[in-house]
Order: sequence, then C-alpha cells, then structure tokens
Amino acid sequence: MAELLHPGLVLVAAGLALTLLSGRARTALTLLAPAAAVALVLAAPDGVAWRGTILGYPVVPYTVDALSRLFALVFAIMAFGGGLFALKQESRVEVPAAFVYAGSAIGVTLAGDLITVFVFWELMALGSTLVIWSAGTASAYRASMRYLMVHLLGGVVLMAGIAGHVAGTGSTAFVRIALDSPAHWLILAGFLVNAGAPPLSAWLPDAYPEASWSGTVFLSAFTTKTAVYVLLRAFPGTELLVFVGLFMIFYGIVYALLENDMRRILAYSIVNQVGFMIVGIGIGTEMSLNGAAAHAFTHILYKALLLMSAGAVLYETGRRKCTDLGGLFRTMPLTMVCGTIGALSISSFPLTSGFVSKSMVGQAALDGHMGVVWLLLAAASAGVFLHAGIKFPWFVFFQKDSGLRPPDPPWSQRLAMVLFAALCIGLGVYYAPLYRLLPYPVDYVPYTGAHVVEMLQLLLFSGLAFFVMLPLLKRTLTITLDTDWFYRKAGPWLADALRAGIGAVDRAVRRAGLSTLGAGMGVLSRALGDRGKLARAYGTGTMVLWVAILLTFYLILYYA
Amino acid sequence: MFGFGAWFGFAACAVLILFAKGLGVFLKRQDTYYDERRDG
Repeated sequence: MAELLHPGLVLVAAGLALTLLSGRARTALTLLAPAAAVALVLAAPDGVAWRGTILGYPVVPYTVDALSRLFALVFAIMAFGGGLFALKQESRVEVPAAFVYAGSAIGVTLAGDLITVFVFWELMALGSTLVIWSAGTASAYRASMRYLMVHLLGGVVLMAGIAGHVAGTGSTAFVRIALDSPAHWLILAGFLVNAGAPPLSAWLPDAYPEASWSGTVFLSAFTTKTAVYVLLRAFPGTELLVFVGLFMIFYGIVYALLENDMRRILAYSIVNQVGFMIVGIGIGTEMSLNGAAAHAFTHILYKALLLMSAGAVLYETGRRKCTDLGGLFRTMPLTMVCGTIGALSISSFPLTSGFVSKSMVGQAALDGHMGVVWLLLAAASAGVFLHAGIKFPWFVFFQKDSGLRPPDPPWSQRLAMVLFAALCIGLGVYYAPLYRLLPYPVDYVPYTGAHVVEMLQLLLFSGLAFFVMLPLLKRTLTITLDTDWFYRKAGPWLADALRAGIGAVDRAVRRAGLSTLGAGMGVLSRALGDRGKLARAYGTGTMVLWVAILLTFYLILYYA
Repeated sequence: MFGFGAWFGFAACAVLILFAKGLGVFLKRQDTYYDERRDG
C-alpha cells in the first residue's frame, strides 16, 4: 500500500500546493505533508517499488533499503521540524521551496538509477536557491546567484560523468562505482561539490547564512547530507576520501574560530561535521560506514537545533554578529538551553546524540590501525567543542551584556526547538532505535567507562583551553578570505583588467590605422589632387618633346 | 596513558587557536570587504 505514494513526491506536491494556500489550510498542510512523508518512509518495505523506462533507459525512481530508509526518514523529520519552525515566516516562497528541496533530497535517497538521482539532484539546487533568494535582501540575491552557479557547475560535471558511465557500462543502475575511468572521477567530483569539499567549500558559508532566520535551518540539512548519502552508496572505502574529510574537518574548525557571524560559524561547522562523515566513508569498514550514516542522522537534528536557536536570536534581535550579541540568556532562557543542547550534541558530549554516532568513526580508525587518523579525529573532536560547542553559546548568550533584552521566540519556534532538543538527548540516551536503522548490523557499545572518561577529559580540557586563551579569540569585525575570493574578487578584477586592456589595445590600433590612412591620403592627394604632379595639365609642346626624347632612347637602345 | 584525553585535548585546542590566529594575519579582511559595489 505504502509503495503507491513516493514520500519525496508527496513533499514536492505539497510544496507546490502551499503556494496557493494561506491561513489555517497552509499551516495544516505545512505540518501534515512532512508527517505523511515520515509515515510513508517508515511503512515502505524493502525492495523496488516503481520501475519504468525513460528514453530507452531503465529507471527505478523508488526503491528502498536500510541506507535509503535512514536518510529519507531523517530528511522527512527535518522537513517537519523546519516547517514547524517556519510557521511565522512571512515570505510566501520560502517554505514551498524548502518542501520541493526536501522532497527532492528524499527523491535522491530513494532513487535506484543515476538518471533519477540526477533529476532530483538538480531540483534540489533549484529549490535551495529559491530558499536563499526568498530572504528578499540584495545580499541574499547575490549569494543565491553565486550558490546557483557553483551547483550548476557541479551538476554539469555530474551529468558528464553519468553520461560517460552509461555509455561505458550500458547500465544506469546506481550502485557502487570504482574509480577506474574519467567518467567515474567526474561523478565523484560532482558529488563532492555538494558535500562542501575543497576547493569549493566556500559556497556553503557564503550562501547559507544569507537566507532568512528559518531558511538556513532547512538549508543546513539536505544538500551536504544527500552528498554523504550518494558517496556512501557509490564510493565506500575510497581512500582519497579520508584525506578530503580530514581537510574539511580542520578547515571548518579554523575558519569557524576566525568568524564573527554566528550563522557563518555554524555554516563552517557543517563542513567540519560532514568531514567526519567523509572520513568514515573513506575508511570503508562496516563500522565506519555505520558511523558515517549515524552521524549524518544525528548531525541533521543537532545542526538544525543550533541554527534554530541562532534563527530565533536573529528573528528577535535582527543581529547576526557576535560583536553585537551577548548576555541573551537573561531573557531568552529557552533558546539558550536548546542552543546549548545542540552545542553539546555537536561536541559528542556523553548523553547526547553526537556521542553515540561520531565515536563509531573513531573506533573504526582504531580497528583499522590508522593511528594517525584516530589522533587527528580526537584533536578534531576537541576542536569541535572549541568552535561550536563553546564558542557559539558563549558569544551569543553569555560573554558581555549587549544590552539587548529580546524575549524567547513565538510558540511555533519554541516547540520546534524543544522537539529537536528532545531528539538530541533521546538518541543519546536511548540509541537502540538509531542503531537498528543503520545499514549494517551494529556491534558497538558507546557507553564504556574508558570511552566516557576519555571523552569527558578531552572536552573539559578543551573548554579550559577556550577560556585560558579567550583573549586570542576576541571577536573582530572581520571575515576570512576563502577560495570564493577567486570568483568574487579576482574574477571581476580580471574581467575589468581584460576589458580595460583590450579597450586600450583596440583604441591604439584604431588610432594607428587612422593616422596611416590619413598619411596615405595625403600622399595620394599631393600626387593626384588639383595641384598634384600627376593631375597637372601639360602643354602639347611638352608632350611632343617627351615623345621625341623617348623615341631617341628607343633608337639608341635598338642600335646599341 | 594517564590523562591522555586531558592533555591531548588542551594541546590540540592550543595548536588550533594559534594556527587560526596565524592564518588570520594573512586572510582576515574588514567584513565590508565584499560590499563595495563595482561601478559598471
């Protein structure tokens, strides 16, 4: 029965219908459609539900296994939480676009062939661009266009890879792919663009924080985690991904430490957290793949919670910069508590969801005798606490008294935050349901004495480091240059320089041409003009004389 | 190793903060850096 309705398409259709509704009907559909998607995902049995043919190629738009169920479920839960949080959103475009975006993400997770993956992949790019655009500011418009350009580029690369793969193998099936041809490298590159991998990571912190107070909550969940899903499906155990992931982890920490905008801090931390997942995919054992999948699940919930608390602050104060904020715990206690729960979860504090998921990746590195990777992951865990676990709540809710006295946000936002905070704690304490959903059987106990003690030591002494070195972390009104500098500054400079250079050369060539032409005309007019030598009227006698001279020469030459 | 988590966590954070600080010297700009509009 459940396989008659595709949960992703239900959300997409609901998103389109929402544009026509207002008032209570709109509220009802905003909550019911994602709830229906959750129920459909849970009810869908394993195996192929839909299959068909497009342009002669077999397609499988709807198929379910453990991995796709896990991701589709968390995407549907996220659409519900985001919809609830955004009930007071005044933009009429944002939530419909977000539902199309979320539904397309679910569509990718339920796709059994590369053509369906690609179609939903591009639909996601359009939906998410509209979510950013609907913030309605000039900076959001420009950011949404930059975002779209990067994702269309990624889409073209992916399309080329898929075309090459289908031409080479004759199969459209979306299965594990070996890195043995240029087409497969292109597919990997296309996936990695959406994961926020180097060298294009900058699209994420550039675009997401420009969305509205609720838009960023939606954006944090789908694009990067869909990329994690497709990498899990197609490239498990690709060693390169360990290095890519480690780079992303430390890039995220270092840039977040330098950042002043609270939502850009959290955006860098998305890159950091996706890095942990990519490392897990690169290690490629059942433990590490489980870890990557579980971490994607918990990450979506606590990152949404963190961005909800940041969104609530933005909604109430209109401010985003740490230098403008501080001391909000007095009048926003609920937002502070929920934000802190999200911050503890991202730091993998025991009894939160991050602890039961991230530990599996570290354990897999240990099991695989990758000592250096394990040490770097441990250092990164300390760094996560530093840049997101303490820095975000400290600078937003405590720090100095900014004089701001905003109240907690309206009920819809409070309810969404409480719901996600409960999920973060709930999964940290009662993790069996999450472990049951993972793609491989789980043989892992997160709560051992040694592990808990070591994690607490690591986190508490990271906290100590934060406060000891607080003077070095003082916020300044600055941003940090990233690779987007090349297309935001160097590109326009180059275009300007080329335009100026080409203009100068063009002017010089034309000037030289005109003066040459003028000089030529002068010579001609001196020769052929009214008084020119060749145009003068000569007397008959002169001509007879010249003819006589010529004839004389002729005679001399003839007899000589 | 006794207290591994503690000293490793502290040291990792110190290194990360100092590295970030050092990188900031080269890469930090005013947050209005990208705001200047180009005139056609």
